Amino acid sequence: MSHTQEVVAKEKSVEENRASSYQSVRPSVDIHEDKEGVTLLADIPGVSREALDIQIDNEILSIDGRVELALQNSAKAGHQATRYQRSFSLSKELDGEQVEATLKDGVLALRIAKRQEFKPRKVEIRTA
Amino acid sequence: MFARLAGFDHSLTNNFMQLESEMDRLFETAGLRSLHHTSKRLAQPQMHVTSTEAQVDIYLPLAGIDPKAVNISLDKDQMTISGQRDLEKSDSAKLMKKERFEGEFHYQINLPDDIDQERVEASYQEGVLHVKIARREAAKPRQITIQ
Repeated sequence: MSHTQEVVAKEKSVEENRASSYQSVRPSVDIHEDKEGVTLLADIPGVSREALDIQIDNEILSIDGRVELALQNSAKAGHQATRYQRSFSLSKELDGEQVEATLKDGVLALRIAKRQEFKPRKVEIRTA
Repeated sequence: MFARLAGFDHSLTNNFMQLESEMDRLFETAGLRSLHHTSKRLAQPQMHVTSTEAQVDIYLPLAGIDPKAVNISLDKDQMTISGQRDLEKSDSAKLMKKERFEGEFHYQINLPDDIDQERVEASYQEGVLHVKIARREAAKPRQITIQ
């Protein structure tokens, strides 16, 4: 009897472990650069606004999004969790203070502006 | 057979990593450098299929697509999901890194033979396509009450 209980307890702890562990996925990204800044597009299907965390700390931009699918078969739900994680280092040209993020249909768009001094400037010619 | 499979996977991953490091170097000029150490695994989001006595659920990650352009068809117990993903193009911006999938996709899923062809529902939310297929009543276990 006690042996059975032990086995059950063991299986349960394995289940719990699985439930709390995520499959870490590195999201695919496209990066576009123009005169004013860069746009980073990342595919993170299944991540809601609430489950998405974007941080810029010490010139490191990190994206961390969790997917918790509301699976019909709830006993399996823990196995289906995905976590999108990826970090980028920002070069000195980019302004970490000027970042805009939008999320639509599982695509995250991050717009990061270039610092003023790195933007092309038009020199006005004064009339004499 | 497994060894062969594993070997194949390995070389594929290596090629991928090589490509990746080239891209990263390229990208340093754009001012954003990808950091590798956070997540080394190159896993891709996967399709999940779950089934209960009542229904089969398919969850397919498809970010940024037009759901109207997705074609879902059912032939007996075989479901086909296909479509095309087009990415926005910009003339003024330079593409510094390109990893996101573009083009046609095609998935084939074998379903149990007791599915109900008439009761299929599909929805698209947060970039995940969810297809729900009901199973026939007869296939559900029935409770027989003793009178």
